Amino acid sequence: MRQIGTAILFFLIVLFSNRSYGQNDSLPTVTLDLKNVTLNEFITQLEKQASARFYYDSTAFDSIAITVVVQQQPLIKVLEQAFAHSDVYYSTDNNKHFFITRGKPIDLLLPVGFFGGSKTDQNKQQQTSLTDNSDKEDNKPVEKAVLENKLYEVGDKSVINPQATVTMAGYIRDAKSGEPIVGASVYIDKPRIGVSTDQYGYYSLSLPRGRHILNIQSIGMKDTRRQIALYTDGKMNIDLQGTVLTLKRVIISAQKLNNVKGTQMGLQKIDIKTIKQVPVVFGEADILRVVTTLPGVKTVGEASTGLNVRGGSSDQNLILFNDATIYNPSHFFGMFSAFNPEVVKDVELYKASIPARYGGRLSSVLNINSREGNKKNITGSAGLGLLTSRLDIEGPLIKDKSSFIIGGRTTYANWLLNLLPDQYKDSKASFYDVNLNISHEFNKKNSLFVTGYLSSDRFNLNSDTVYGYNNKNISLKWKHIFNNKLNALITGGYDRYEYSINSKKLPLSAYRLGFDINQTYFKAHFNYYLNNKHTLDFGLNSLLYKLHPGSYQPLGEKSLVVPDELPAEQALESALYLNDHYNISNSLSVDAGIRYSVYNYLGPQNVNNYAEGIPKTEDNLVGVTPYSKGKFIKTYGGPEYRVSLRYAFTDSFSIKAGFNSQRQYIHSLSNTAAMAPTDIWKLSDPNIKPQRGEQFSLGLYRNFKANTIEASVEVYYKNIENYLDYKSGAVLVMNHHIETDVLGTKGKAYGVEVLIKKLTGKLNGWISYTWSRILLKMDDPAAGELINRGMFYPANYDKPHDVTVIGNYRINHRFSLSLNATYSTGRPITLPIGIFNYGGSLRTLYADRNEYRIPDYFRSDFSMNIDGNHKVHQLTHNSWTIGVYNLTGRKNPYSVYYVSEGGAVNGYKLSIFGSAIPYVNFNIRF
Amino acid sequence: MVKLFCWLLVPLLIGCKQGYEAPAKLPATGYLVVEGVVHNGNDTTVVKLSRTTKLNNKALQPEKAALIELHGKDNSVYKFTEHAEGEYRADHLGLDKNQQYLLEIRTADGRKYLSEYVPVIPNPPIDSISWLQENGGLQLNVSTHNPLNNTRYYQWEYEETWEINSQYFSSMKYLIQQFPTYQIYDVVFRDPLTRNKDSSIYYCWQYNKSGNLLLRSSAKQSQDIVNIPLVFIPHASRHLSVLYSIDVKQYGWSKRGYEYLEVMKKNTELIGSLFDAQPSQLNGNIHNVDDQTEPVIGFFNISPLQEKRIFLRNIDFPDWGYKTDCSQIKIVNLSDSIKRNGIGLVPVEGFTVNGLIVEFWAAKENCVDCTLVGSKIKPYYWPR
Repeated sequence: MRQIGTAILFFLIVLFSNRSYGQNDSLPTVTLDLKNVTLNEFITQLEKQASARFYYDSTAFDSIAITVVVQQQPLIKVLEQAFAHSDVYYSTDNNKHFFITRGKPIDLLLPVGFFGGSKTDQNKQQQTSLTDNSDKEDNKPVEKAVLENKLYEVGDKSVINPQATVTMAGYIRDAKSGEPIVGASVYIDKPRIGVSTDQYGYYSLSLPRGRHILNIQSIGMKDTRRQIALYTDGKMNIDLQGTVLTLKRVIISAQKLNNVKGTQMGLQKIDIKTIKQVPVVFGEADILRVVTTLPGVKTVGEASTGLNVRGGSSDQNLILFNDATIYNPSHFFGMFSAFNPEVVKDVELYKASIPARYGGRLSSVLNINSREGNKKNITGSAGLGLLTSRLDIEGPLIKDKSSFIIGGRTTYANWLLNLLPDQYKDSKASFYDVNLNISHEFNKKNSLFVTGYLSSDRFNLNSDTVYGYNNKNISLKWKHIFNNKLNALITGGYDRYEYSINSKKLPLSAYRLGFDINQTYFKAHFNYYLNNKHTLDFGLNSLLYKLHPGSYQPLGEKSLVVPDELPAEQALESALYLNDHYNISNSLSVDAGIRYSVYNYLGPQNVNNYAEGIPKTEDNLVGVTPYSKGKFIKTYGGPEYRVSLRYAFTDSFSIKAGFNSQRQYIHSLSNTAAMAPTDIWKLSDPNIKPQRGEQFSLGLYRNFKANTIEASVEVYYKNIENYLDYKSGAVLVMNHHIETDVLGTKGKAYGVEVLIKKLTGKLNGWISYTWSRILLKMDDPAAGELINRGMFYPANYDKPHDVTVIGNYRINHRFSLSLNATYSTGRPITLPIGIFNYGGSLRTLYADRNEYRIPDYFRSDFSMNIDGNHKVHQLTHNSWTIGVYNLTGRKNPYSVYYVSEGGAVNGYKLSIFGSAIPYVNFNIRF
Repeated sequence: MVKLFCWLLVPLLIGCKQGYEAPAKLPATGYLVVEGVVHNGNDTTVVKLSRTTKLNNKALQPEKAALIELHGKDNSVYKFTEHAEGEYRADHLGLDKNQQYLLEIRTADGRKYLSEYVPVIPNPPIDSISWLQENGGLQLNVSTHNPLNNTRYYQWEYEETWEINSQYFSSMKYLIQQFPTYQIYDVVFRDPLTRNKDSSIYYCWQYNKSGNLLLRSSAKQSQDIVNIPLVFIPHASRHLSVLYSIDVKQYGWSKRGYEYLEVMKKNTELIGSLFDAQPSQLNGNIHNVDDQTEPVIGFFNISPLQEKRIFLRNIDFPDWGYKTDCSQIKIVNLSDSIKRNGIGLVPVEGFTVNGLIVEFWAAKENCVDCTLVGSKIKPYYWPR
């Protein structure tokens, strides 16, 4: 095969007919009678009979079947007959050497100009068809550079006064499906200059003029390189081969150097393959549950997918699904996340240096990217689990230009609930979600992406009160490339979240309660690649909110409920931002960004006025000011700084530091420990100030064993202002003066996070350990009651120690075992300080919040992933996942509470998954 | 298969509940608890004072020897007297319904507590206590309306009383003669003179008081009409085996007072599901004059008392279906025979030959003696 390697050196793009080489008459004749044989067999016969020598890559032809029946025919004729109607070509020199290739024949002549000879018009055209140096040729497709050892010329060699630095750009795609490859590293070694592809697989790189070896690495793809000779600005698209072509199940080193090389801190990226390996309850691959295994991410308990990132509350996370904000990312009482794993490509969690392009939440940005559909073939997958089923179909709309992917999930838990004992017979639960993504490439400079998302939940838990909630999102994104240095991303969309509660038990007071958030947004993001030292990101975001904070309507004719409606709230949140990624030297680089956000609370609205300097209570309400439509009632705003710095001691060891400040103008109000589906959201107004937060962080990053093991230690300290906590006995629903029931508190959070990650090899996974605290304080007597006498108190999700081990052992290509284990300190709870008798029953008295903790949490899960056979050509590929959730069956308390029952006070521990839960999932791909 | 799903889903939906032992270290407690609505009418008002106790100590701790006074804004003063440990009463207060009052408490340890001034909250009469047959049982509801629309916040308390009768009317009992090494059993008449059956163990009464806070507000309705389920009597239960009665008391509350009770209810009764509100502090309207931060439990409220009682007869519910598992056996009246067959039973009636009891019927004690579960004192309001 080594001969082939050298032969490929001569490979050219130009198409030559194989007939142009079929004139060597001195070749002997052959006689064959072969039916459906492999190329190997065919060639063996030919070599035997014709004493010719054949060169080819046998792996490239293993799927070819050859049928040929000839009597005393010349070799050339035989080859032509055998390869007719196929994409197999051959070339030959005059020494009975044959080169067999697929797609294109090998040009055995040296390229003109190889020895510095003059160019002809013809060959110039051949060369520029590969590269592109002028904007006029927009509509001509950029050819793909497919070979590692060929020298590709980029730009126009003949330019008289060439620049010293030249920009090249293009797309990195998957050779099989045509999907863009995100986050692929594209770099040269000397000098070390590199970039990662963006979410569309696009890269842009400024390099010194001349010859380079361009390296390309990405998750799950074969590392490859291209020889390039750069003359002027140009384009080059590169297709990467998957490592295991037909099965996307194997983890290959993920962005080997990013951890150390990037300036980003506190960034965690997980791809869907890793997510699917982690055992979860009922076997439903769950993005948010896997995110909670990362360092610095906590959740109050198993019934909640609400994330608490570095001491932030669950409303301080910006959850973006293809740029659409998801307000409630959960299904089924909060036990499953609302993202269909089959349409998700990967998940990025920004905990610290949040890029300037994101804003509006204090703690984190969780960016969920969905896949683009397969651009070559219609494919699909289906899954069958204990509680849910799903079906996903993807394929091209116009081959190689546009594709779609549509996925849906639904549950059939309802009929299962009917099997429960009588006391639960009235429980009902149903949910579904639908995703649709369409991408279209108009030409190499313009692409359009349409995303639609819909999720819906309805449930009643053994009562007549029915809860329902929906997310609806649609976004339209246009990517435009002005030139190699500047590209733009224009996004517009609409997000809606709504919930409703219906209760019919008492006809006199039967009601329907409704709530919704609507937001329309526009984002313009520009990426300007100034030179190899500076990359600028800038843009503007604008977001128009319209909330209906509550509507309370009678249900049924008998109902005496007076319709009540809280006036709609509207606000405009806008931001301008600029970020410079500055490579000061090879080892030192800086990301400095500023985001200036402005928030306008808009009329029409009636704003309650309270006397200054005394607590906001109903008694201190002095009046109401009405504002007309569109009036700017209150404006908040200010700069937010995003700075991070990286110093690399070596290629595999770096230190990073960062400072981050954030503002948040929309808050969820909740006095439940878990994120409840009925939590309401409130916009900042003259009485409720925006939340502000700042974070300092420092980290050490080290890769071991040829970058296969990543290790990092990060420390952080965070200040939070105007964090909303609730007063005792707060009424949060249908409250016309909600500011009287909430308190702005101060918070501080700090911690250390350690992560060791190995994503390659038979044994892969990660170990994370976090020590962290989040403390709140409410000590302003003018704001009303003090919480815990004005002392710091831990937030509900303060769990100082947290260890997670995620492990996967791949026994062979078809069978792997996964085990995870997690331990954390019990979360704080408020326990009674005493018992008293009142109203005919003993009752409990509560005072200081969160003074006690529930017992510590420990859980381990196990799963086996079994793939069907790996034959490429079969109708469907099947796989099974069999596992056990909570292997040890430990009854981890979710809460501890005291309840007055029959006159006495009894204490209970409530655990949600209090036994080992086995599950089976069946997946099918077609 | 059904079993498997239940096993999987029950923990999912309701989790599993286990008893929880309080942590070893418990904070100091002993805060004043003030309970009772002051009635402005001519009936008796009772205010109970007690102290909170530690989580692991469930014995009540009444607050004795305190002085309680009611002060009107018009400088009127009304005194309470302690008539039982921690129970203070005042009769015929006859307060002015347009006046505001505060409560003053001086405890034996010298501390002084004052409530805020509160108005008298109007309270309309109870319209009805209705019953509805559901799943064979009886659901009792109370309804009230206020045409002036000015009560809006209601609280109810109830007390159930029901008569129970033993299965067998006994006229006999054992006479046991004790000897150092053995006993001799004999059966005798309970009342040798009349040989009557003993009604004191045949007619009994059982009681139950509301333990949950029963609250309802019409604040979100156009009219001040409320209707609340009070109690459910399960099918075939003993409550309605003879005669059942429920007495309902109704109070009107201020908005703040009502919210106070709601928090107390949420903290202590409506807890234990996945999306509960977290327990929160109670902030009432009674404070220590010298230390405003000292917790005081209770909310001072003045409202006239409205009360209504209804009776339900077993004979009006022919399908009620109350049953016992009682049966009688016949025993020969000989000590050995009684020892063999009759230990733990109670004689009911017998066969006499020449005034001597030769054989008798006996049944389990709980089939004969209702005082094991009820009180033999007939309530004054009992109609039969």
